[in-house]
Amino acid sequence: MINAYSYIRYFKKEFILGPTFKMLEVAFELIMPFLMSYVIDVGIEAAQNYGNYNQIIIPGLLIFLLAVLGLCSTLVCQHYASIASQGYGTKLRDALYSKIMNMSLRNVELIGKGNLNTVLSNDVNRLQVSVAMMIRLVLRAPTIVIGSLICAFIIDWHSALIFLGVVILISLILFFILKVSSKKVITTQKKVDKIVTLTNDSLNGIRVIKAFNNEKHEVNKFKEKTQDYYKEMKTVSFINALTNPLTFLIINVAIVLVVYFSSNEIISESGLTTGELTSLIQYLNQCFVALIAVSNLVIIFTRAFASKKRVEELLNLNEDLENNGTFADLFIENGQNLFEFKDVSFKYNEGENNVVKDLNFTIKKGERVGIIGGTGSGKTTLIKLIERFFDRSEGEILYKGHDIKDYNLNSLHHEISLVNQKAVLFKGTIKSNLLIGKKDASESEMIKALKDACAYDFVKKYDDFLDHQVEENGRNFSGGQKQRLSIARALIKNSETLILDDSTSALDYLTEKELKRHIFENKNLTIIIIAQRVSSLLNCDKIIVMYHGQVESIGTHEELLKNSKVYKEIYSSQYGEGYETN
Amino acid sequence: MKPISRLFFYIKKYPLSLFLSLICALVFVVSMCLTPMLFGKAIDEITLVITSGVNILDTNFFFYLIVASVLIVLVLIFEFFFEYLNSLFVEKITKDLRNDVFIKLNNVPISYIDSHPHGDLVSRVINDTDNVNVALISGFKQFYQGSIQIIVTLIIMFIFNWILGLVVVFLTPFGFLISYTLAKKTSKYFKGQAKIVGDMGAISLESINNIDLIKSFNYEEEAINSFKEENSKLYEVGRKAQFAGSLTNPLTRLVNNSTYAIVGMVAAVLCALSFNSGNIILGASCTVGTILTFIQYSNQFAKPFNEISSCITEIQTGFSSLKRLNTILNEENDIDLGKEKIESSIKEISFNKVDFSYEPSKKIINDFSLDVKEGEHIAIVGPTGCGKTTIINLLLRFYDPNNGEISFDKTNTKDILKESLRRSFGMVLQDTWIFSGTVRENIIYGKEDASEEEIKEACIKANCLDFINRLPNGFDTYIDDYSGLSVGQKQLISIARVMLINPKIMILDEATSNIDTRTEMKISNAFNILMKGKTSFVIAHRLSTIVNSDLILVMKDGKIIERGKHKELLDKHGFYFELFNAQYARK
Repeated sequence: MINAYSYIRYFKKEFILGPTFKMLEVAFELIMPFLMSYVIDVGIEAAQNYGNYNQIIIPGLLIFLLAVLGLCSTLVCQHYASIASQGYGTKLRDALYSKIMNMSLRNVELIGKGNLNTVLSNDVNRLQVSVAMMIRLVLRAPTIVIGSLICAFIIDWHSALIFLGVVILISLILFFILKVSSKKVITTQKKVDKIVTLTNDSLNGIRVIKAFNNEKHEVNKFKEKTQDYYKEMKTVSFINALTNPLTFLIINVAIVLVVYFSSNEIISESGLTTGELTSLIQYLNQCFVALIAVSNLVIIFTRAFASKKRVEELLNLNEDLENNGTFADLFIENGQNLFEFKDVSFKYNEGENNVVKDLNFTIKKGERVGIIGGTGSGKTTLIKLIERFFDRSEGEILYKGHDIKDYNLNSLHHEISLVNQKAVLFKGTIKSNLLIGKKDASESEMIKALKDACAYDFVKKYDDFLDHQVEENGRNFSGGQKQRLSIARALIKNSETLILDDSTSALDYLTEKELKRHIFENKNLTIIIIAQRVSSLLNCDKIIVMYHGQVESIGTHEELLKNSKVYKEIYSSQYGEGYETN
Repeated sequence: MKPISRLFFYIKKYPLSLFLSLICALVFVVSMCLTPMLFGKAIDEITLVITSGVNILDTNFFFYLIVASVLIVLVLIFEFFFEYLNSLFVEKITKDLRNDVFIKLNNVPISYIDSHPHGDLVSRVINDTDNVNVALISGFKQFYQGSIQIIVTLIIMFIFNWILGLVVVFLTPFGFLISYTLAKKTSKYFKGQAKIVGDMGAISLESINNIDLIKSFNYEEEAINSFKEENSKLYEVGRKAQFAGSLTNPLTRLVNNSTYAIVGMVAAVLCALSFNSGNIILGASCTVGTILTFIQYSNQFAKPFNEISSCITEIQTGFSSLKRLNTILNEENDIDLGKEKIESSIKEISFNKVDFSYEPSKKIINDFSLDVKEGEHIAIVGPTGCGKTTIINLLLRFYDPNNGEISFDKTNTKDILKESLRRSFGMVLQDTWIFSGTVRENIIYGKEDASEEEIKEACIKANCLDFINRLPNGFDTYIDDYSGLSVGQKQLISIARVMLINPKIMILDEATSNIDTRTEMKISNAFNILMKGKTSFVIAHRLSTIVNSDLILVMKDGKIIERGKHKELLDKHGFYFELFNAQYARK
């Protein structure tokens, strides 16, 4: 079990030295009121009676010296704190990111990509801040409170008892306020989320809203939500408004009590002096400032602990996909079995329904295989099993005659090229995107791939050609251009198998046809095409029809038209009932 | 309107809150400033007893403590009300601001919404208003509390002992100066940090969202390395920024502690010097109590100065957010000059020499004319891409033509009240719109007062009653755009929504993909019911729709390049012919 704070171990030195220097500063600050009380009790009298001002000036200068020394030791502390916390954040971030990159796709989907991003940015940041605070403040505030308390006991134990009462009372109040307000943080966040959802909904549906003349309706809904939020904030404001006045009240009532009770002692000259009384008051004020700081710390750490939980869940996630296969780079002849699925089923979790069930089929090397079926029919899951993003739950998958689990995962991924439904380009240049497919690709290889993917025509129009910038998510390219570039990236990989997952949807039919012609020229390439439209699969040797997570039937287009109910239905929905094509 | 006057516009709405919180601030700050003085006086009474040798405290001593207690209670009450009123008042302004921005977004021309990223607009409604909120709360607090505190402390200090007052006034600005110069010197680290944090966010977002691709390209190591590289850059800048950020507090403490030392020394010296002259020197009284009082005053006087630096960053952030909000609020509303209402059926829709472009350089529709008689079906076909939705944008007047006119029965649509115009249309888009709410709320969206029978009937016609009944809570099931329903089901619900209002003209956008065959059948049946006997415009993908249309408009690269019936277009051997063959003909 990895503890999220365990990365602190790299910063032992900082964690020891930082707080030590901080405590030094606190000690300096606690001495100051003592010196001041010496000035009042001894210094003034000496000056009055003997005209000797040294007992005023020297302690005064000492206080100043202590202040400078305090600053120096704090700076040392802050220096170590910044190294430790930023370093800690960096280590944790690296560890988390590696973990995420090596996570199985099943886990990524179970956790959710959005959540992964949030953990990596927000949660790590909060933990990083909490580490800085551990060094800088966690010891400071309690030390001041306890130190003041000790000083108070040294000066006068009667007054110290009042101190103790104050510390306990304020702690209780702060505890109560924090408890309530940390709960409120969650409920108000929910109200904000509702406003976000509504705003998003309205922007996305602006045409429908206007077509229905429903702008006023939307505005009223929105006003309801902001009113709800306002009501919630009213309570929050109420609670927050209590903190300062209540602490002020308690501290000052304590001062009144200390002055009142110690007056008798001073008058009866039974030990306490006026100078000491003023230092007591100063200690109380120091406590006040420190306790307010504690309340801020509690908020920081409540958040950090919630983050810690999420980070640890990720760090300790069991990797469910083993990568210790020994087979790699095996060569097989055209026509030999590349993939064999035997009674394969997959489900995400034990006890849930199968996503795909009883899959039985083979794909031979050099074959052109189409996969067709409705949404939720299991096509994409099938691809993920072929790529071994997941391990099957039941049955057997053979790749080149061996259990796919015994095949090295990196070689497997190297031997298969996948073009996704959603074309994705990474920020960088056209070149950098192509190089993802093959690290050491030459320019002529790149041009060949671009030509095969029908992308050369538009790429050559750029003045900077292959160095043309690709913005985030490739947003400076149209949908069709993105698809062609992502196909080029897959082609340059020069794999044995190419999977096109509905990846030509944004191309016009002529371009699509041209592209297929290029790809189909390579007779050694095994091609798996997933499509919604019958027309995309007409040239396939074999079409696998998926229906509700199962293989409904397998065959050529003509065979399926005769034998497959689902295929016929799909066909007629696209070509019209009884419409003859020729 | 300028950002500042915008702000005053909102503040002016709540004069009572503004006034009351000023009163509260006055009472609590004055009380708070007087208490240290009373404690000082009380201590002086004690010293007096010792020096004079009388062993009984004067009643003044008790009087001071009682007054102090009363003042403490006053602080409790009025500080509470001050903070509470203040944040309520600001929350109200925030609410108004949010509402107004949202209203504005509903009133601006659609082109504004189309041309701005939605994430950015949402962020304005949420985050920018929040920044303004934070700035106003701390701004008002600082402005009221801080300025009153400075003035009152200053007055009391100078009345009490002008020499010490001068010392404090002279020393305090150092703290402020230090944090100000520090902030200026170190801002580059914070800017650098913000940039790298942004870059890293983009890198991780991109790679995590496309992790399947990364895996299939065996690209994990490279991704990790480039992340690490960026991360180590962040370490360098972040460490410096953190160190710089943690300097302010210790430095102000140094100034405060130095003031403490100097005030203590000067006061003690004055105290000793004035001992023989009845504790008065150069017109300033100085006792042990004075030392205590001034130690506390120097703190009180410095506090607003110390806090001003953090307050200034909040106000800066708030102000730039206010500016962003103000640009939205200053947008022109979409003004409707139309007055005519559509009373009866529409016999003829005509486009007369219409020119249109989204950007001046890129003409989309050029000199386009078309007459559509009541009951005709128009199909719009072409490769995926922009352009096909342009006709919808023009018909519903989401955009207006640059030249030419569109008219309904000879009335220019510009002269028709938009509300009345849009009411005559029913629209089902491929990107279905399901908002967060129940299924029922989603269906009755166009007709809030629909009866149970009407809803059922619409759902039967739209082929969605069966699956709605199978949902966990039937019509009362809570749905949103992201969960639960398939694309096809969502489209059926939006069809039912249109079924319910029974409009005169239909605009339909057929789904291209991602819908299974059975649902697609259901949808096309529902479309046929919707279109029956009505004028309709269909962005078509299904052959049966295209073949049976009265007119086909063929669009390419955002332009209408061919028009005619199916047979005529095929005979032309043009783009439509190629398109048709590529899509439907075998081999």
